[in-house]
Amino acid sequence: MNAYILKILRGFWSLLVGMKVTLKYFFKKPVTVQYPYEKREIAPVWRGILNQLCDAKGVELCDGCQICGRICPVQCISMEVYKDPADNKRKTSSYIVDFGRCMFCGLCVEACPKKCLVHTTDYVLVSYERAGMVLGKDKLVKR
Amino acid sequence: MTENTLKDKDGFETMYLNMGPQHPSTHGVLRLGLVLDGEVIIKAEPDIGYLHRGMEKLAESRTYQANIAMSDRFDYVTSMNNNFVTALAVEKLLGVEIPKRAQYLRILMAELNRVVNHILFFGFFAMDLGATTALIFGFREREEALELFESVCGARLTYNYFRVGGVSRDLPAGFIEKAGNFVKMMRSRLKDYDDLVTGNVIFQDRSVGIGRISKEDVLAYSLSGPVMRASGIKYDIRKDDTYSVYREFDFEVPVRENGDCFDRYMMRMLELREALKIIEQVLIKLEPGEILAKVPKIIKPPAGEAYVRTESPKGELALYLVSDGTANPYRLHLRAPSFINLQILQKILTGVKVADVIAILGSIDITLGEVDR
Repeated sequence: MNAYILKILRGFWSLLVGMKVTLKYFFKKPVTVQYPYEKREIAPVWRGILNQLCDAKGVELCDGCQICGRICPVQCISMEVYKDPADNKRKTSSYIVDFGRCMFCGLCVEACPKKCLVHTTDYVLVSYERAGMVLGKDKLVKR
Repeated sequence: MTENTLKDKDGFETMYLNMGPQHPSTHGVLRLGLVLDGEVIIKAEPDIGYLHRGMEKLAESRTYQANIAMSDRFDYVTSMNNNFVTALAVEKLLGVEIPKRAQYLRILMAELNRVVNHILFFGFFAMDLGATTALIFGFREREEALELFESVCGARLTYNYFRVGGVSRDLPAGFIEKAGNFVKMMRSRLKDYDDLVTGNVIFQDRSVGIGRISKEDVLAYSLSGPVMRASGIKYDIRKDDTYSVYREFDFEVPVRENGDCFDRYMMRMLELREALKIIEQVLIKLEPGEILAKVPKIIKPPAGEAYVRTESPKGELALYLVSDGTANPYRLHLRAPSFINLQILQKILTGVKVADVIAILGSIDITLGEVDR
């Protein structure tokens, strides 16, 4: 009988100790971020949606070497390459990244020899259909 | 799935209870078929495979570097440790020397991930036993650690941080300070954890003496990690079959004797403290230097095989890699600790009450992503 009462008392005490912890945080500012209204800061190195850089004159740096497409583990990068007769250089006529497949591993960015493929801190990829996740040059090239 | 023809000891009909695969407490998609006599389980049949993605086969059509990216998805709670074992196996085949700083960074990340796994375990285990506040506490601390990961490698869950021959990025400015603060914060929060959960009488009543695993069973089922050490076997691969530069660090291997749910819980809490100790030591020892060894752009290890074992937060995580000299591995096999630790479930669930199933399953700490692969 004594042990029984003792256990109830011990249980009551452990409850109070636990309540003390929760009470401590009750008076502190909540840590929750109310997402659509406030957004947390994202690290500058964030591996988000890809972008292609251009030089100061607005000319694309990409020369269509295809390394990013070949190193991609999920084959989500595809491009069409042609040789520009004006300056005899290789250029891309289309550059398509399927972000529905992309796993944002960052291997393409590391492999790019021209350093013109970069990650942005953009992470919102919402679309009503799958085709909306496939971004072409108009969305990817940053002029 | 068997037909329910089992009779209980008095010859009466038993009940077949389906638990999962969408039960919130089965930590993913595990289905338990329970044959019940009243409230007591007379037979338990874990059914796995709902999350099977065929990763070992997929690995054969991917390059070695892409396999590290895929290894994030083996056990998605401890991605860094999966990266670690994959990178180690490829390096063993290649025979490259890893720069000192990269070694330290790897251990720093692996131990931080161990902390993340154990606080997540703390939250989920307490939640399984009915303490919702603890889950929120666990997630709150995990968030801080994930921000550290994010500032280093740019992702919060699938880090892809390790490279063959080193790591992908160096630490950003102010990381050491931030990580030091995290360790300090974690130490003070651990006190809260103990007050809130460990000392709680209800929690102890529901976990002490439940789901006892004997030393013999541990050896027979080749369990590993905290589950093994909770049953009184002092064995840690970081100490006893050391890899990377773990021998430079001073840490204890905690061990408990009873092998019940409470001891398995306590093991994680003690290991968490040891992991924090290692993180502190790494932060002091870090010196500037190279982070990536010189490896060829296209990795083609010589034909041969490598077996590497590491201590992941869940247990012994080992990788068997066979190379045939091409850019893709010939075979990749993962010894997944969650999968092997789960096998004991069928035995220890026999004879316990339904309410204890969740406690026992939670205390083994599995990730279904690793069980099914």
